[in-house]
Amino acid sequence: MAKTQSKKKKQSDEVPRIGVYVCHCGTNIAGSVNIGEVVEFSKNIKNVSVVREHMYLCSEQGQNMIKEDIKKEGVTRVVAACCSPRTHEEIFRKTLNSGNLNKYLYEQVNIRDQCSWPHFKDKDNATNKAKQLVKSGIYRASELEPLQDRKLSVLKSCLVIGGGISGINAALDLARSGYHVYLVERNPSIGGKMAQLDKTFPTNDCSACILAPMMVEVSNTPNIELIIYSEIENVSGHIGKYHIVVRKKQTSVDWEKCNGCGDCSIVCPVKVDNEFNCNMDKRKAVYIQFQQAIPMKAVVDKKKCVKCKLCEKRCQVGAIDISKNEDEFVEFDVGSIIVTTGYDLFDPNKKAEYDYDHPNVITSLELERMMCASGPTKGEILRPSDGRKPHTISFIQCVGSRDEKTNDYCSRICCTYSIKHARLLKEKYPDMDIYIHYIDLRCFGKGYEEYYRIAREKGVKFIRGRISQIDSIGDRLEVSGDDDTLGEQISVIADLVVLAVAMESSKGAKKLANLLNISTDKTGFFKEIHPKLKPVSTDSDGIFIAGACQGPKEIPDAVSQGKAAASAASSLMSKGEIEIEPLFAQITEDLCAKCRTCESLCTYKAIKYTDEDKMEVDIALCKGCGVCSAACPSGAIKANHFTNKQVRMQILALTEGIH
Amino acid sequence: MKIILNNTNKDLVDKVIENGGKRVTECFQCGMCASGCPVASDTDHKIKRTMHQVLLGLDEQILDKKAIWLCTTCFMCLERCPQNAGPTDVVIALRRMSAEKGIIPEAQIEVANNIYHLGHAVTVKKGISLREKVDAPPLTTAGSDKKYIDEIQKIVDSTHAVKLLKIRKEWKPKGDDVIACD
Repeated sequence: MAKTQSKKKKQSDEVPRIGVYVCHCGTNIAGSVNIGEVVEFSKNIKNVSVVREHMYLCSEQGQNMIKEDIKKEGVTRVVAACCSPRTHEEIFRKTLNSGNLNKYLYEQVNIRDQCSWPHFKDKDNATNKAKQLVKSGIYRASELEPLQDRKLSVLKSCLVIGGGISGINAALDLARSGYHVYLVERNPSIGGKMAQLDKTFPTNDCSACILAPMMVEVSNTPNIELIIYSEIENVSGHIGKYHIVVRKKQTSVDWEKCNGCGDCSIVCPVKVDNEFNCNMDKRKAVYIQFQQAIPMKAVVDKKKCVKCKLCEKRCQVGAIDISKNEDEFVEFDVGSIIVTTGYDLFDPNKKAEYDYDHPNVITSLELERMMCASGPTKGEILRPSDGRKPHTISFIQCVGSRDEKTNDYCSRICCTYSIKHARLLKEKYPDMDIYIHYIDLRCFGKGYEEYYRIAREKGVKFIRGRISQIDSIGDRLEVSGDDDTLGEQISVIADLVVLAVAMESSKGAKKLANLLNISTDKTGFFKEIHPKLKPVSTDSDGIFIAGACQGPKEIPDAVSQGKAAASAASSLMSKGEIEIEPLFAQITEDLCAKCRTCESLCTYKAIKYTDEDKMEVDIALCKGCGVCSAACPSGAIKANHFTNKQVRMQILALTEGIH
Repeated sequence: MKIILNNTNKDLVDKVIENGGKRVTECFQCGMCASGCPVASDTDHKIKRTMHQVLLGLDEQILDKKAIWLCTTCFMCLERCPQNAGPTDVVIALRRMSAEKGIIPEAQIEVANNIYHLGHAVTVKKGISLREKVDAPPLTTAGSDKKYIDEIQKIVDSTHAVKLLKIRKEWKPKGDDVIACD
């Protein structure tokens, strides 16, 4: 014990002995940075005691080299000049830990992203920049202080936002592992977009037959609390203990009493566009969302209801009370949050050339609803204009995808879903003439190539070339395009045109991102921390994302991500406590004038003025960004690990010798 | 000219399959057939395009044209096609269908008549005299005995190829480099 104490003292008080390690990263860094020069340069900097280079510093051998130096050379600070701390900081911190050196006495200089990659054509300047950055890392390392991780207790409960296929899987996995799950859904039923699908690729099994049993299991699992027809109103708190406020929209139906008989809908005189069937038919103002709805309960659409109270009188269990208008609020605490809010479809009106106004130009989801036995046409494919069976159908791919004017990304699922539609139609109507106009066919998933092959065997015709225009010719549509192989303009006189519309971030995504303090990318989808290392984590600790709210994906991937998020949340909550980085702000009370500048600037709402006339930092919320520290007029706030002294040393290193 | 795809021959694919191009629908236009084709650069025979034209039912663009007869049937495309779509088989099927319509280039008729009357596609008189010069033993070929040729004619006569290939009973081979048994 005495020995460790003396060592700790040594680490902070004596003149630091800095070890500098420069990584080649194969040719990733060494290809444009002269490693030898950086090594020689570093040797002459104050407090540096060891400088070494390694082909792959993060290898076991490389890490052992650092540990050896800590042990034999008495190295008390480590500077690694290598890749990004985003991916490798944690790895090297652990190396220090296992070498019995406090893990915060480590500094990483990213000479890959900042030198070798951007300046690969200019080796001299890439090397010079690397030297300067390494120098600034060394200067900062001299001032590093040992810090201790903080422990935080974590509630063993999770909020899942969105009851689509991804959220359902996340909720079920967590509930099976023994966690309490709150599943919040905006619509009157869980099920999401998958509930609207007829069949699913690549197995062509009935969508409802896969989904419905899972939905039933959700409703029968005691650990899962369904909060339906509800939206997130407010989120506060932090990892381990988030406080959630949910707005339960008024249904005017007592769900304890409602038995889902549907009598109310029968007597209701108000007809409303049925969103579930893509507005192709009508529902009533009091309605059950669809046949397999979970929960099987009626909802009064308050915006459309005319308050005639016919439903109230008809309901045999007395469940309806039209006079109820107020929304209700539910509050609870959870240890973690999983966001699975899914996607919205691209609005094809934005591509005027595709004439979506025409009744016989429809979207893929509209076709899907028509194909479904419980859909508006009971499974028959009929031209919306006259109810006749179409003979020739053209599918137009990439509507709103791979298009700088709308969405530049590929929506991933459209190729395979159009092939699915074409195949199912050919099976039902072998004489039907079906064309798929594509740019590239991207049938990338397991079993999808075979799926595509069978479509060709069934006689679906694939034409490479983007369609530029659709014109009316009598009661038919002329689809004009180009055939890449023929090198000629082509046209198809079609009875029905189906637009393979893109997947877009859901309309409420931005608002939810603000509530949860998570980021969205330029396309509006929620952003993961790293596509490979942390694919379901967000920049708010304890909040995870899964499914199509993260980016376009098909059902198998959405399910996998839902399960991945459940696993990530579970590993966070399982011990009931976690260690968090001590990178938070500390206030020196004697210097603080309570001007509250910091409070107004803090993005994370981590600083609060308390009843005891004090400014207090919530260390679980604080991200250690340092804004408060920089803004504090009296210098009362110290940002751990980014102290003024440490930052000043970095600046000194970079400006020394410049006049 | 703009091609209206509705007006194409919807039975073409089935016909090609019936005539031996059994896997034509496997084609997904990767272009490997055309990239290795020895005649593509110098002729109108563009096999990738032909495969696509079959799938679209554009028979007029194929059957009435000379291009399918320019294939050397080297089988390179058939060997290398990653989908096993058998482009050469498709070409042969198309030739069969073309012949049924009475469309065969004159050179092919010449070859057919050579085989019918001489037992050989090409004539070999010079080769035989060369063998004598170097004391090589005489060669027995399909055309070296009348009875072999009778058999060939009997086979051809029993099929409707005799009509398709425009076999002429009164026929005189071109050129003087010809052997015919007595």
